[in-house]
Amino acid sequence: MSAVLPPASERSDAGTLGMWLFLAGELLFFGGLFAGYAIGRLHSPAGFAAAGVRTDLLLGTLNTAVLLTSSFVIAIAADAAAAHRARAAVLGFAGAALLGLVFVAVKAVEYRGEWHEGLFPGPGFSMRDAPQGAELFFMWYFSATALHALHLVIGMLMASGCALAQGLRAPAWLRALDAHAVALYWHFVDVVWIFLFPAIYLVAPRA
Amino acid sequence: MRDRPSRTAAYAVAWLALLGLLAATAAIGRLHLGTGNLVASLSIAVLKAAIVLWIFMGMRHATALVRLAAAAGLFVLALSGLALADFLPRHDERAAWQAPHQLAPGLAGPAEPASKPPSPR
Amino acid sequence: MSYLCDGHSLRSWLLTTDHKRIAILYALAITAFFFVGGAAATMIRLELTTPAGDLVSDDAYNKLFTAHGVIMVWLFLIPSIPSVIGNFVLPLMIGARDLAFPRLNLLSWYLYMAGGLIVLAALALGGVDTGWTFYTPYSTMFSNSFVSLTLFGIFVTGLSSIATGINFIVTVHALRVPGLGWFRLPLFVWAHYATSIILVLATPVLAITLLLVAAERLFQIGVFDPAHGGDPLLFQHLFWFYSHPAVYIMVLPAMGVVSEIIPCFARKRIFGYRFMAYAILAIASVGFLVWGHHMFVSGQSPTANLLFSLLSFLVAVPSAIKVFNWTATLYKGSIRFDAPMLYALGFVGLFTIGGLTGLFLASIALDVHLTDTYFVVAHFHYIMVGGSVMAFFAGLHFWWPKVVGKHYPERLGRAAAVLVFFGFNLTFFPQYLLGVAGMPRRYHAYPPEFQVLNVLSSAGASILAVGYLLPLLYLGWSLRHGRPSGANPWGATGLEWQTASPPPTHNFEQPPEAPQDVYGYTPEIGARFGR
Repeated sequence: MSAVLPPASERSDAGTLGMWLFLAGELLFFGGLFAGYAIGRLHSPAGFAAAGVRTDLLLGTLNTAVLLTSSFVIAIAADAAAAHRARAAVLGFAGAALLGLVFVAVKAVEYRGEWHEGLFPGPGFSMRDAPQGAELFFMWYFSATALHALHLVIGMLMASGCALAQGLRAPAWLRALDAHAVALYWHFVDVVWIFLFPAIYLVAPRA
Repeated sequence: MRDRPSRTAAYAVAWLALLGLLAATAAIGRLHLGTGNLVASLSIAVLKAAIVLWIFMGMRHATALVRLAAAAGLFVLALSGLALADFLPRHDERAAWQAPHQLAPGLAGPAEPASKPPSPR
Repeated sequence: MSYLCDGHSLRSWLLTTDHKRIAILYALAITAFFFVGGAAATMIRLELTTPAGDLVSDDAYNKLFTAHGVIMVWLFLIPSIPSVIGNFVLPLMIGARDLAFPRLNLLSWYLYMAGGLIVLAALALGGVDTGWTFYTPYSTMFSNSFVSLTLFGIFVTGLSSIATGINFIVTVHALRVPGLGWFRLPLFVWAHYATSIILVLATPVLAITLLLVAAERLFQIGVFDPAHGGDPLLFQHLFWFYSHPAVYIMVLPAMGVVSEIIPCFARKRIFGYRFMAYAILAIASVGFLVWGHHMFVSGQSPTANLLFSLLSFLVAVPSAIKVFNWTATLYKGSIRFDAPMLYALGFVGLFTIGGLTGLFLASIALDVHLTDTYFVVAHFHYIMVGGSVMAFFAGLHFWWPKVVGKHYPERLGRAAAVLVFFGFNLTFFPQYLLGVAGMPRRYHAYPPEFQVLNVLSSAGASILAVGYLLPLLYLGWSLRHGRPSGANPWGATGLEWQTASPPPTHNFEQPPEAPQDVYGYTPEIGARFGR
């Protein structure tokens, strides 16, 4: 029972529109998260500032650079896939996925540091003397970065799929992955981080 | 068909610009500008996002329909700003923090005599 | 060969990518969920026949109305018209062979089933007692029921909704036959397009909200907890930012169905087609701006109250325009009271009453008295049940010959429609009076002076139940014994009627030609297609 698919050129336009619609929805998903952050910061500016300076600016900036580079790489990869330049496409998609892995690894290092400093919300939270809102900041921080990382991992899986799909004996379902749509998704995850970065690391100037 | 070399070149320029803006925002983050910090970091973030959207995501070549889809998402998100009509005028009245008082379960027997409406038996 | 005969194995149904078969898969599922939700309602109405809380305990009662709400909203109303009727009819109406993403369509169904089964599992394990609205801090801190599991189930069905919305939007843009411009599209298509926009843009907000509630329950990430500087009202804002547009997800497709049926059975072109289309878009957009009217007494600022009240009055305008236009369509029409038309007329009347009572609730001063009373319960049931469910039945009967190629027994159809109308009003009109008298909602025991109205309401519910069971019986009967129907038994316009009943798998032997006149009804055509 096979699907009746429109011709390939129609399909890629439909796929692009479909992915953009999905991303519009994702904007609302993360938007809700940012809205909550904004309300929290509006109500507890001192608490958020006190907590914000405890984040690791160096690792955060590094991670932002990694993600921006991965966007650059995946954009080239998507173009290469469309032009049937398989080698460039494989390198590009694999490279982007690898950079994603670097991001996740750096994040894990950050989380480990935060754990040891007692910045995880809960009974072990160490900033008890800080103004109210410090723990709330970290609640937002962990929720938002975890959801972002989850989206990134999904992106990495799809990018790896696109890399494998360039192979000569790739199965049909893998080749059905729309490289352009996967790249769009990746860029969106990057855009979310572009806004997470100042929200997390640039709340207040550090001494 | 679009010009392949110039697209890669555009991507490279965009990438360098993004890295530059990242450096700028991190640097400005060290200065004490009060509200200016928020304005600066937000503006730079919007600029970076715009570059990713316009160049990497191909918005500059996109159809009107795709632009409309993206705009619709942004527009509806902006509508949520109406919630500020609630949050801005409201102020917290801080009270001393009290531990939540958990009542005993009702099935074990009425804890408070006034909690149930009188029912005819 | 019709799509029904194209493969008889279970695999051919469970792995189908044919939008028509997927519509039937959805239909079977939502019917099952409807009766589960209905069973909860039956228990509720039985309990409420006596003032004492004597049939079930208070905890069990809380779980019953929560189950009723969760199942009816997310597992029945939201998917009912779009995923059953929309899935089947939309591609046909635009002359397409299928939706834009047929495999995504199948995935939608599996996501819906997975979410629905998770919700049922939570129910079987002991249920949830927070109400379908999951207000914090009760849901996050104090409820000892299966909240997180239920939230996860709803989250998964939300993914199904988003996928359906994306599919419909891309389909309408990409797969129309040449010549079918926007203002030649049936209003059913307009309605589903607008609904899909809401599905795609509003559902993700529900997703993040439910995730945050689960995070607070499971990981004590208390973003709604005032002790940490959080705000319980933030939950309400986030929840209602989705849930108000969600009611338009439930009502717009219903309006689309009614806009197809009334012109057909009045043998008259729809009055004010362009205004109807614009009104659909207006309802969808202004619908995003009124969510705060659910929060008038929550502690929301007076400024916000004022703004939301004003906007809520505005959103009634396009709905009113639609009601006027349906009525004007009926004026001087040659009206036939077949079952679909009876349901559609019922929709117009009951939706009007429900909508007007919405204006009562949008007035802050009145809402202070009426909020959380049975007035609100009656208001939304008039729209959801008197409106959407009746429209669903209207569409079910109208397109039944197309879907199965058989007529249903018309007299039984009319009888069921009348029974539903009468039963519905007897059930829910007394609830307006109860609300004004001050009976709170979600209470399983009440003062004795409210008993008479409650008994009337429960009596009505029993009639309504019969009215809902009848179609199950005679539609099922018609599958085997119904009179075979031709391609266009109603003499309706619309491309879906230009192909066989039931349609072949690929819908059309040749791509059809776009009609010149989208609602080109004249009395003469009616005479030609007599029954």
